[in-house]
Amino acid sequence: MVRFQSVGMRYGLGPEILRDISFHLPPGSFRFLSGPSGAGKSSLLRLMYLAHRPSRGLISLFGHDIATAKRNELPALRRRIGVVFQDFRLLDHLTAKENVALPLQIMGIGDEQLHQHVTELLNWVGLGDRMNAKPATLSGGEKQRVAIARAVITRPKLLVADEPTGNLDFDLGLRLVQLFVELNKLGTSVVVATHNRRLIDRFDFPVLWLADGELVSQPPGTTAA
Amino acid sequence: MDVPFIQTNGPIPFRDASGRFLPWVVAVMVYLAALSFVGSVILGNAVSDWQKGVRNRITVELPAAAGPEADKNLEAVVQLLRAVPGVVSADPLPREEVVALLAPWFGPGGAANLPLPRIIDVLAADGEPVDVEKLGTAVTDLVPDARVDGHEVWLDQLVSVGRYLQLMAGVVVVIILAATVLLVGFATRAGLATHKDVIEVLHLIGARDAYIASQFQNHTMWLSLIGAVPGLVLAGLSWLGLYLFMSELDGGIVPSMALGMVGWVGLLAVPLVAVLMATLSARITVMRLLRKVL
Ligand SMILES: Nc1ncnc2c1ncn2[C@@H]1O[C@H](COP(=O)(O)OP(=O)(O)O)[C@@H](O)[C@H]1O
Ligand SMILES: [Mg+2]
Repeated sequence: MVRFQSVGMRYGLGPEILRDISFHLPPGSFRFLSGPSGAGKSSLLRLMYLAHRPSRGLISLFGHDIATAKRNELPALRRRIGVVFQDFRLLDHLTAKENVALPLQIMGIGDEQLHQHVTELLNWVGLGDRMNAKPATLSGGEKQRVAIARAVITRPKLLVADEPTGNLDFDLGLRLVQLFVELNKLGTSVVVATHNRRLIDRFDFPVLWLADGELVSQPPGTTAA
Repeated sequence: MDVPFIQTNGPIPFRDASGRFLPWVVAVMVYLAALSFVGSVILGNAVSDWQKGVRNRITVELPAAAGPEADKNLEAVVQLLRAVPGVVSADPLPREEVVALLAPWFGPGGAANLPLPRIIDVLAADGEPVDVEKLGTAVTDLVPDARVDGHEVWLDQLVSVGRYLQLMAGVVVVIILAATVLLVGFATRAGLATHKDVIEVLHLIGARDAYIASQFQNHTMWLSLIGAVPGLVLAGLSWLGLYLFMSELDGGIVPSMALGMVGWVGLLAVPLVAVLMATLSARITVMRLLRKVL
């Protein structure tokens, strides 16, 4: 479903900040992506949700080679990927429900069909009573949940979340990851970037460890036994 | 009526300054283009009026002479002219009128005692052009010194000045539309920069370029419509004012102010074309610039 082979990445003409990344995510898998700040977690996710092209190596998504995919093939691929951005990236002038409806709207889905879907999903994330609120009036946790609802409204095959628990207290973070686990049980592959070791340890999912732009086999800072 | 579930106008918050000037620009552009167009139609009317009015007027001039010989010649030429097919009337200008015409040079009645040329004013029927050259030969056969003037030379000059001005008006319309397209292009480019972040989010959730382009395109279409309508109305009022003013005047050179069917259709087409070009300009700009992002 997702395959990286010897992938390198740089921003513009800067240094390579990801080197020789190779891994494979089978359908229906759940992965944490962890490592110290600045290790390249967000950059790796950007490659995964097609916000950036690799400077070398092969990335294959749903069987499509990203390097050779034409620009006009990308939207269809992106619609199969749900993204929870680190800073949410909600549209400030839209209400919660309008933000959540957006991925369906851009696919040309009409008002009546949106209605039920969006309402259900906002109820599921516990924001049924905040549907008409603008992001500015929502708390950090509420914004987070709007962002998640927007990421999953199209029932993506792959869900990518960048530090979704970043500004939540531990229990809320835990509940959030449990939400992702629920989705994963419904068949969505999930990748959650977090540097929260306590949270990772609460679950029994494989972890991709990143250190200084490279995948390592064990948590950075741990010496091999 | 049900309140729609989604009430927003679109995902891009266009309530920013970059588009605010657009209706004003389009209003001015449409006003100028519409007036140029009206001017071109009126010039066209004028040119054909002149052509018609002068083409069927021929002046025959017999050299100054006095005596029964001259009167006989005059009578013979008038008879000849009246017999030509297509000639509606051929009237000698009365001597008093010629004297009056010369008053500025000789004083009132000052020319009364001079031998004066005899002038015959010939009016030809519409749509039945009289061959001036043949007429001239026939007249000079009778009176060798006579002159026949069909006014072609200055008519041709007048007509080409008129056609040239018409062409200029057309060029002005084209330039104005081109300027509108350029301005919209720049405004759209600025708008893309302003809304870069939103556009990136839209792309990442799977929006196609065409979807983003249609947001800009619709926005531009509304802004230009908002400008085009008052622009057209003002142009219409200006034309009406000119029309009323012109109909107060009378005289041969005042051209017909009527626009005619083609004129009206063309006038209404000016704002439509302006809005269409602005809309297309927005679309093409967005599609072209988005090709550069991933
Ligand atoms: N847009 C960018 N342009 C240039 N360098 C960047 C950009 N984003 C991140 N970086 C650099 O890439 C490296 C990895 O950053 P990032 O992927 O955000 O790591 P993490 O998410 O693990 O903290 C850092 O050194 C960071 O400074
Ligand atoms: Mg990060």
